[in-house]
Amino acid sequence: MRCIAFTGFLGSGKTSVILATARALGARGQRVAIIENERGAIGVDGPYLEAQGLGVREISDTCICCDLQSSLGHTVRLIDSLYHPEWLLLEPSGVAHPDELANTIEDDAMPGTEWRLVALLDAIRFGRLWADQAGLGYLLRWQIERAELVLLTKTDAVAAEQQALIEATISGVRPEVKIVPLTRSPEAGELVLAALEEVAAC
Amino acid sequence: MLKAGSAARRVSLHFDPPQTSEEVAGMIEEYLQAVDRQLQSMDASWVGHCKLLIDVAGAVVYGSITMAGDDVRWTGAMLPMVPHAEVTVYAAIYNLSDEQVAGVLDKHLPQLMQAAV
Repeated sequence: MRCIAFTGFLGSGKTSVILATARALGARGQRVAIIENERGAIGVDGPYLEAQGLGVREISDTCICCDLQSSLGHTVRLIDSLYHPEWLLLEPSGVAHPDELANTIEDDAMPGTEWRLVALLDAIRFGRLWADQAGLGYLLRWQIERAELVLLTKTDAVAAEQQALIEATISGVRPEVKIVPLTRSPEAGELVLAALEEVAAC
Repeated sequence: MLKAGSAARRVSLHFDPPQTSEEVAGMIEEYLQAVDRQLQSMDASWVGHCKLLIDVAGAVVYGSITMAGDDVRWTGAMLPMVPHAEVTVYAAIYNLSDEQVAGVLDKHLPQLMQAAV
């Protein structure tokens, strides 16, 4: 089972990218399961994805990377045994630390799974977040450090020069990481899958 | 560990007579802008996600703002006329508490509900 964890800040576009990726996989005839980790008793992303015809399992009111580490492994094993998906798409909450999430995945040692961490960085807010090196910028740096693939979202809302500057900043931290600019286009899901295949082939 | 305060509310909006999708979208945008102003009074450069799931007869629309002064971004399209909508509003904001975020959502919900009746 290929498992993709999409890390990113609150509002970085994780749910939209997961929806686009799931649709692209569905169009290829692949079975997909989604795990949503939302804080709070009432979720929005899970019901939204369900309304789009997707099966979703939620881990609510906790953070999978730090509060309740056993939940992720248990949920992954449960989904695998019940649905036998070929792909599992995981949306951690916006407070998940990528390093702790990676450790949770390693510690849980889920047999038969192949994990990849994908970071979603929002082009509109990148400058504001990056400047806050003692706060949110610190997490942003970790997202870049741990990602095997960076999806630069909302690039339709920034100028080409600004996008180039953001890409140069990311490459300054991780010169080898693949960066894919992404907008809400019908091709978004296929772009993500193509990038994942390229990363897997490396 | 990074903290974010979160809260969610669900409300049913009834429109008599039915409103156009543009009118309903306008009400929702006014609500989000009021929430933004209130959040800015607590943190002038807040970052997070305040989003609304609007279900009109099974057609789901998603609108959200993600930082102070943000424009509302929409996904999906509502039916042309809206007699009734189920609205779920969710906000998760970095460096605020659950209670602060809940207070912001609750302060402006009556205004949204009054506009709908």
